[in-house]
Amino acid sequence: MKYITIKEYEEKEKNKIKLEKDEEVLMSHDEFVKGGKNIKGVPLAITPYGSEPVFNEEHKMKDKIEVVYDENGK
Amino acid sequence: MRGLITNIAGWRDTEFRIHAAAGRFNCSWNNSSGRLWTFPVGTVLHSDGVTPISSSTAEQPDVDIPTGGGVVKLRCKGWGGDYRFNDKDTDIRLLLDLSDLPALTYYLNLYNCSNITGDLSDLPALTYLLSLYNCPNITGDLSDLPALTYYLNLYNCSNITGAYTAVSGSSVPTFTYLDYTDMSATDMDSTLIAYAATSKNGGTFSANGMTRTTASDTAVSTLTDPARGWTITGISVV
Repeated sequence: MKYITIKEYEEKEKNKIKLEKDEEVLMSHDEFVKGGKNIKGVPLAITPYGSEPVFNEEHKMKDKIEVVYDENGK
Repeated sequence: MRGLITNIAGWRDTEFRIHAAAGRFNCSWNNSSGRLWTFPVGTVLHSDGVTPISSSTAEQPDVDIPTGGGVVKLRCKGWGGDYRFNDKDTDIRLLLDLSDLPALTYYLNLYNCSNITGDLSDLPALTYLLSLYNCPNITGDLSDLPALTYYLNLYNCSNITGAYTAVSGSSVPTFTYLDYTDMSATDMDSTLIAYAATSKNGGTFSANGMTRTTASDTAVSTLTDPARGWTITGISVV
C-alpha cells in the first residue's frame, strides 16, 4: 500500500490526477476531524497520529504463523 | 452436519470428517487428547512422497492425499477449549463445508482455503480467532458471527453481507479485515458504530474496496482518537 498525505492528494485533485490503485490518503485523527472526513470517493487511512499503519499486507499473510497472533502466549 | 458422527454411542461430535483433494494435507489440531488422524488408502508421507501412512496422532501430520482425494478423519476427545484448528498449507485442497466443522470454540484458521463452502451461520461458536481469508464461496450475514476477541479476517469473502455488530465491551476483534466483502456502505456504518461503542483500545480495522457514509464519521473519529488508538484503513466515503 502506498500512502499519500492530504496535501499530496489535494495536489493530485487540482491536477485531475487519479489515485493509483494501491494509494490511500493517510491522515491523523486531527486531520480527519478538521476536514479530512470530507474527502470522498478515495480510500482513507486514519491513524491516531498520522503515522503509517503498522499492520499491512504482510500481517495478513502471516496468519499462517500462529505465534504472530498469539497475544497471550498460548 | 455431513461430517459429524451423530450416533447414539456417546461419541457424538468426536469425529471430524475432512474432505480433501489430492495433494498435500498438513492441517493441525493442537488438542492431543485422543487425537487420531486417519487418512484415505494410498496416502503417503509428504516428506518422501512414497512411504504409506494410514493414521497419525501428531498435531500436524504432513501427508499427500492420493489421486481422487478422499476423507481425512480426525478423532478427538473434545473440541471445546482453547484449541486451534489450522489448515496450514492445505489451502485449496481443503474441500470442507462449514457445516462439517465440529464444535470448536476458540480458533479456526482456514486462510486461503478458497474451495471451502458454507454459510457463516454454520460456524461453531468461536471466541478468539476466525480467518476465512480468500474464501469467496462462503456466504452469509455477518450478524451470524459471534463476538471474537482477537482476530477476524474475511478478506475477499466476496459473498458475505451484513453488519458485524455483535461486539461489546472488550469482546471485539483487535484485528479486523473486511476487505472486498459484499458489505454495503450502511453495513459498514453500523459495524464502525458498534466498534466505537466497545471499550477496546488500539485495534486495527481494514476494509479496502469498501465504502461507508458520513453516518459513521463520529465512530471513525472516536476510534482513531489517540485515546482509543485505532487504525482504520481502506474505506472510501460515499
